[in-house]
Amino acid sequence: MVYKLSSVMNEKEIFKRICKGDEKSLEFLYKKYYRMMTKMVITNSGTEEEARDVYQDALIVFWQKATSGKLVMTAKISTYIYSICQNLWRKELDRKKRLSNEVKDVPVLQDTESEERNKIVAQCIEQLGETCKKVLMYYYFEEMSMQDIADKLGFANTDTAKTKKYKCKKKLDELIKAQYSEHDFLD
Amino acid sequence: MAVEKDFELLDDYLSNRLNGANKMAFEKKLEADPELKQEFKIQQDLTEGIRKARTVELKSMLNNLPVAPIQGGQPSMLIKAGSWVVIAGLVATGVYVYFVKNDSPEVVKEPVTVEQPKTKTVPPAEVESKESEPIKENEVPGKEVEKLSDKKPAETSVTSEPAKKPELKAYDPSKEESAEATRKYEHEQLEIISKAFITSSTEVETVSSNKKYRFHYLFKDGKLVLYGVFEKHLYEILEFISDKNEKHTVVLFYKADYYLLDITKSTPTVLSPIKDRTLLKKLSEYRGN
Repeated sequence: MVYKLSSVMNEKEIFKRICKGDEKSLEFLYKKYYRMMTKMVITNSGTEEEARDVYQDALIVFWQKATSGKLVMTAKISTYIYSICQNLWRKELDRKKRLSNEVKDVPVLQDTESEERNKIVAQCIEQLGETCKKVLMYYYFEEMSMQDIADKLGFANTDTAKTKKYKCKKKLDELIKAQYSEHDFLD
Repeated sequence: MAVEKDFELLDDYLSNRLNGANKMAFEKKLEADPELKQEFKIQQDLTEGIRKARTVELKSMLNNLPVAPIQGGQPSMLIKAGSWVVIAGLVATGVYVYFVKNDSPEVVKEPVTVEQPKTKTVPPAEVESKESEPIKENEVPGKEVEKLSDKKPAETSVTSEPAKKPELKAYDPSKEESAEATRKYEHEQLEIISKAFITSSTEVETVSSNKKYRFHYLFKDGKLVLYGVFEKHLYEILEFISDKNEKHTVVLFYKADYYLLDITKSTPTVLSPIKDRTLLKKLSEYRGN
């Protein structure tokens, strides 16, 4: 009798690496499932560009959940990503349908203040150094633990990571507030 | 009135680090405290901005990865452009052949009429062929022009010559087992594998810095040491243990090849791909491909 455990172990290994924020494993997964995932969108009236976009978004959702430690894999990675792709593509098709049903005379209201604020934040992030950007991204996007951040960025310990995060956040906070104040976004 | 502790909680809340009762309690406080609510809006912009920036960064990283185009999808602009070059080349060659067959000899010998299609079609074909496989067809019209024209053979031979030379690898037979012995060994492993259960508990260490051993392995204290740049491409270790725990076979899958690893090797041993077709088929089945 042959027990097949190797692919499970292999998936486990990849998942373990992804959880630690290993971008090479993300790249590996992206290439591995590119065809499978994009084909689903294309066969459901999507273009290749839309398919790529949906697949990338799905993979990033998976990545974020895995790095934050909130994902317990009970199925294969591909099954999980495929279901996210399906959900995202269904949403996109619904959005398209709604758009085509909407009365075209109604002007679309744009939240210009919100757009302006987004732009300011993006510019302020760009002013930060590379390490600062990474620390904040790993903390707020990947939701990594301080230990993982320290390991990934080569900090001596979690205290160093904590201090770095605190200082970087403070710097960004000051930059944003100064800009908001100039644009009268602060009440 | 918000205190320092509230701002810390706000940070935890926005970074999804508050759960259950703590989260609900904080939401209540947030509703009741205007100062905290105002700070919340700013901090929400900040964290959302960071998340957006990271998403853009990750997408850009993925976009830069080479992936094969999907069959049945829309052809890319490059392929479309390439197809037009092929068509233009074929038309130009056709026109040229027509004139060669039907027109007076002066037209055939006229350098302008011969060179025009060649100079127009060959250079784009060369540029495109580097980018995409299907555009290799572009070489066809260029070659036909070359055959038909006796003018400037040196120039055309440069453009139609294959760009790459095959890479040569040094081979030292003294270090290798004989082909027959290898076949026998691989066949023995097939028997073990067929009656084994498969696992992968082997601890692996990769050594990429060794200049002497670039694609080697050894076993040390039950641990597998791989020499070479393995980190860039993920590898798989398949471990086969017979029902009675008597026989133990370890196989490395790397890129598209399988390598048998002899657990008795304690000195760096070169990795050579398995050649036995039946064994390869079996391994491929076990890997699920």
